[in-house]
Amino acid sequence: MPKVKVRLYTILREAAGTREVEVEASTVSEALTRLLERFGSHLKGKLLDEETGRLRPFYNILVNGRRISYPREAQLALKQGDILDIFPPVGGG
Amino acid sequence: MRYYGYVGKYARINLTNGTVCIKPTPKSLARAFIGGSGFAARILWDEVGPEVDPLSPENRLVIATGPVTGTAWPTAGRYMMAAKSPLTGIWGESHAGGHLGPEIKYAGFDFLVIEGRSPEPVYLYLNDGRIEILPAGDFWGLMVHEAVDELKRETDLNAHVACIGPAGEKLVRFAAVISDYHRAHGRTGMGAVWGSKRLKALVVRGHGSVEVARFEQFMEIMQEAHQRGVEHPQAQALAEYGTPLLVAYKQSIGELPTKNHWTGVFDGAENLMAETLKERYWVRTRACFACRTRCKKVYKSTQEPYVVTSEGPEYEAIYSFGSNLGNDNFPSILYANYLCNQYGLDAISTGCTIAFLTECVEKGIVSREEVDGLDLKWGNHEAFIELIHKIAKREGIGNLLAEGVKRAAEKIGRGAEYYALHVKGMEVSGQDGRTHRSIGLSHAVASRGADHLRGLVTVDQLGYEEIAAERWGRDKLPEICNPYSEKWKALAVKTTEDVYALRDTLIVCWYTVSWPPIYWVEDFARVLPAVTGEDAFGKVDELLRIGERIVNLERCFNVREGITRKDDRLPERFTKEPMPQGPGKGQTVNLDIMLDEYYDLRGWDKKTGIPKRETLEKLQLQKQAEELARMGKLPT
Repeated sequence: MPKVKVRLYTILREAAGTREVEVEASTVSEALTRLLERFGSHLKGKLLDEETGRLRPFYNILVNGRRISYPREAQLALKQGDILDIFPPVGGG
Repeated sequence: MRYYGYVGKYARINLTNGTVCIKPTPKSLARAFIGGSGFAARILWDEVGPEVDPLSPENRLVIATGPVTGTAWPTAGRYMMAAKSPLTGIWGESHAGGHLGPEIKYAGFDFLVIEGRSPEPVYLYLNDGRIEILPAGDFWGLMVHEAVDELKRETDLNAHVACIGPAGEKLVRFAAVISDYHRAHGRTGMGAVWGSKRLKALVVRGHGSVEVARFEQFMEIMQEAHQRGVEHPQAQALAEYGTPLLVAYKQSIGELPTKNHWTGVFDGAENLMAETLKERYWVRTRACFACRTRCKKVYKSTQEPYVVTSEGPEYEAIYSFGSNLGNDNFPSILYANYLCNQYGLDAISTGCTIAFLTECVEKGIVSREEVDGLDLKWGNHEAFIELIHKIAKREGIGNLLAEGVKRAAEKIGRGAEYYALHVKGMEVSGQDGRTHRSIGLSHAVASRGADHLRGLVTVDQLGYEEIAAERWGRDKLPEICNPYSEKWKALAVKTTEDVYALRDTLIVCWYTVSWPPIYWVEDFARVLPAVTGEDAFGKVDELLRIGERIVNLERCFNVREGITRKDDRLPERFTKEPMPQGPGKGQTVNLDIMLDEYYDLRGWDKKTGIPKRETLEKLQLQKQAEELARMGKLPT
């Protein structure tokens, strides 16, 4: 199982109490599952919509800096050393 | 019968002979251009021809509000100013938030047209329907905060003040006007226009109000709009972290301009991220008029020699004094931003001119002796701070940088031009078309030059496929959201420019409009009829036509100044130098393919980039078509 790095930002970082974690996952979906297993309901509430169970609106997942479409690419295969960035909404300028 | 929303009067102020003429706001002007940028475009087209030097008495300075300004509609605190730009020689315009815009209307004015040059320094005092031109000799030379405090003591402690600092007085070509202490009319050198007219400040106090046409309807849609703003996840994120939010995201996608836009990845980014700033430096949050988003953050540094508590910096100043200078020392960035607000300097252009010079030194084009012996190298914030003082005072090498990167590079020669990152003379804002393709086109075609506020498309930067499908059609997916593809970007930029032009007539803040989808043109079509009573403003097609009219009128202004397709260029760093690092490694911008599509969509001639006669006539710009034809500029 590949080891991948998951980096968290803003409210997710605050909820998890850490800015990055390493998880074993072969797909993006699995990486999210491992993340929720580790940090529990507090992170889940920030990350997923309670009613639909889908990623909250305007959240972004990047794999090695390339934005993916979630859940369409939830089964995207990960390889050893990949970096997942999970961003709550951003804006400004 | 006048429209509601407007207060119904404007003033023409001649600083040469000290006269003030107050007139009714023409209803025809409001119907055709709504307010703000639209008013300014019409006035500058009529009154500022190609023979006018931007720093001469003949240049006009328009200070304008819009019909929504001063109402309780979300973010209705904005106002704008425009003039021919001393930095670019073409269309110049800059907006700011705070509380001064509404006060102009409460004092009884929709807009001001300022012309001439005062023999002595003066300030304008707008006070409940009266305008006085008062001596400012005692305030000339003062830094912004001190000048504002003194002016309030002299007039009214509750007044709102816009003011220039020493940089505007010294005609630094990218000098800013600072409003309410911290809100900058930054871009295009409006502060130098004020300085050239010997106008130190605008002091405003009013006790009037803004009447809306359909009160109950307005209250209902206004409250719903506020609620939507409060509940929107993006607004909540801005409220919590402010615009520095962007630092981390842009670092991840490889679009955090670093070392004079050489790359899009900065090793020290973690020190500049919103999370870090909140934890280490944040002390309080502030809001502009009628805004519940509250994105303004006040930070405190106790690190010597940068001991300061100040509002800002926004993302753009973090980029310009941080990553773009290879500098991860946040206290120095906070201090640099504070100095820009005190001297009255545009934080983007100031940082970019320093980045330009730093790279010239790195490449051996400019010697250490030529930069007054400063040890100018990436990350050396002490030298950068010293250069800010020198630019504002036009001392030593600062006198050259005060001209902006285009003029400075031309004077230096020796290949320095390649490292002068600008479009049409304006320094490039904190984006990079190599990893965010639509901004490459936006930078190239915007009326102000390399601009992030006129046509910034966010769907290829941040995704939002559903928003993209809703705005441009599902058939445009996935390419329209692909940051590395030129496909559909012309369509996205064109539409966005038209909507943003409208945004700048109401006038409302760009954050809640530019970052989808809190408010868009459909919201404008709901609020404008309720405020003004004009039903035609309730039609989305009509509003988009007005937005398109303003974009074309600004283009006509620029065409009259000599702008053509040859000027809609990007620095070669973006088109020929592949992104060296990060997820977009190897990417460059293919600008011409986007330009061809953009001109087609705009109805502009592909060869020259000039609007065609039929395009202008369709937008009721016949007069402009005739004048350009007389000048031999209209495509045949």
